[in-house]
Amino acid sequence: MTWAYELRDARFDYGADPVLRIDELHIASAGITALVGPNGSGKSTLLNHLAFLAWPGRGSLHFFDSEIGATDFKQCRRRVGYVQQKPYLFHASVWDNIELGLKIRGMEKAARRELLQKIIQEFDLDGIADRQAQGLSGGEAQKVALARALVLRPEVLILDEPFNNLDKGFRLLLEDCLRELVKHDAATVILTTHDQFLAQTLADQVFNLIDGHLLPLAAMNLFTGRSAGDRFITGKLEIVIPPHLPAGSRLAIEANQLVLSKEPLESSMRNRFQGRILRLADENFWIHVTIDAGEQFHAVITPAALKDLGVSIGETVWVSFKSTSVHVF
Amino acid sequence: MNYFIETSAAALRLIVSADREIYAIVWTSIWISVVAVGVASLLGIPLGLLVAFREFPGKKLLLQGLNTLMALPTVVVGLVLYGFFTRHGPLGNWGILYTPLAIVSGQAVLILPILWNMSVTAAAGADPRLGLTCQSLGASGLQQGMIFLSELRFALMAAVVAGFGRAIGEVGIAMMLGGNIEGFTRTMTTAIALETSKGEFEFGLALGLLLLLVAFVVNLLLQYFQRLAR
Repeated sequence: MTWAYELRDARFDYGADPVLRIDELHIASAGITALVGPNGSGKSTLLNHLAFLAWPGRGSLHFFDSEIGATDFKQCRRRVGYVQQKPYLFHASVWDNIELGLKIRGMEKAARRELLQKIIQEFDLDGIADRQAQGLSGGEAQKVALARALVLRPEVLILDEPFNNLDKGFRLLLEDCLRELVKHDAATVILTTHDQFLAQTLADQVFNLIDGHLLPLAAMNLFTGRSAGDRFITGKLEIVIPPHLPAGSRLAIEANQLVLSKEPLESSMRNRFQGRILRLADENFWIHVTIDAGEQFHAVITPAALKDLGVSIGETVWVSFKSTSVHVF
Repeated sequence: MNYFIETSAAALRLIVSADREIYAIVWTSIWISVVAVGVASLLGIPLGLLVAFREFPGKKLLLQGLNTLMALPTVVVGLVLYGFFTRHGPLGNWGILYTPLAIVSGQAVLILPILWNMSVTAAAGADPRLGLTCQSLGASGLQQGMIFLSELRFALMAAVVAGFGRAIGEVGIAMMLGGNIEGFTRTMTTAIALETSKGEFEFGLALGLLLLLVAFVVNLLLQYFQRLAR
């Protein structure tokens, strides 16, 4: 496997405050990688580094097998397209906004025009191409910023919360567009999101960032509390954990490790909690089930499994999982 | 009161009749101040952007100095430059004392702190995402500078207009460095002073009204650009 990025021992501080502490991060090329985490977890700082906009205080970075130093950043930037969470659009028309990156690269006018017309059509921006970018809605601005990054045909496309402000139609179009980009152009896509489920269904690799620390698992079920022997106490639940695990203040369980049943299961699983179904969401051929069992659990099952289970919103189910399926950190 | 009304009417007649002498003086004032603003803008705006985006020791002191120099007395600038341009001064050989170039130099020095300071303020108030966006599009330092100029154009235009307003209305520099030579270095402000002292009140008043009109237009432009910048 070829790595687009290899980060080791990366440390970022804002003044005296540590923001990122990454021992090792490998991001595969020609694939989609999702970084999931709450606000303030260090996602944007990490993206700024991956987009070569900020140099960390410490650590090493390899970009497509080449070691990168601070002096290489300017050169590398042109290989990366970056769309910020709230993109800045210049005080100019939509057309001029999308064209600027091509102008910066010194591309001929005819070639620019051809690329622009193609992307404007693809993103359905024909109707607003001549409008001033400052007057656009949040969703339109997001589209223009994406078009501005994609028209440069970057090797790596970095998107900070790209699905915010988008209507469902364009959201699906963007998902397809990202998959096409990976499939046909072998591009590397890195995106951040709060939505664990979206990350899991869209991305080939999912990393979680919590307080600047990286977790190589999708923590749809993340609880805070304290370890006490073979128990992790959240305040509302006591979860059985292997006694040898190092103590920690957070516990994560992957969604696909949860087993749902109408009756308590007679099995080796040490954790069984009764709860009520709060939400059933059909998302991209999977059913996302939210259960309130004191703490909220998020499980992912197939439509067939839901049919066999025969439950609906408000009904009671049992959530079971093995003590060995939890991660305490 | 009658005297004032009569001279005001005479002044208006001079303006309406397009008196050649009056309009030659207005034209001299305008072109000298435009050139001075051009020179000060070429220096002050890039320096403003540079100071806004770079951190260096003494930056705070420099900004405080610029703030102070915004209220630089015109006669002080005139006096110091007179020392440089006079025949025995370090630049005496250039022979520019009592020429329009001397007034341009003096006015440029006078308004440089205004343009510099207002450019720093404009750049510091720019959207913090602007720089990041320029960088992520792969812009070089020079390209980033050009994009910033374009994005901050309204705020910078407001600085330019404010500088012009200060230059065209000053009298100390034009008098000390220009010498008030008719048809050469006579500006609106020096002509007003001279004609009034000679008792030609209506001539002075006509120029005063035209100066007020210029100031009014400049003020309108300033408000327009400040509104656009917001």
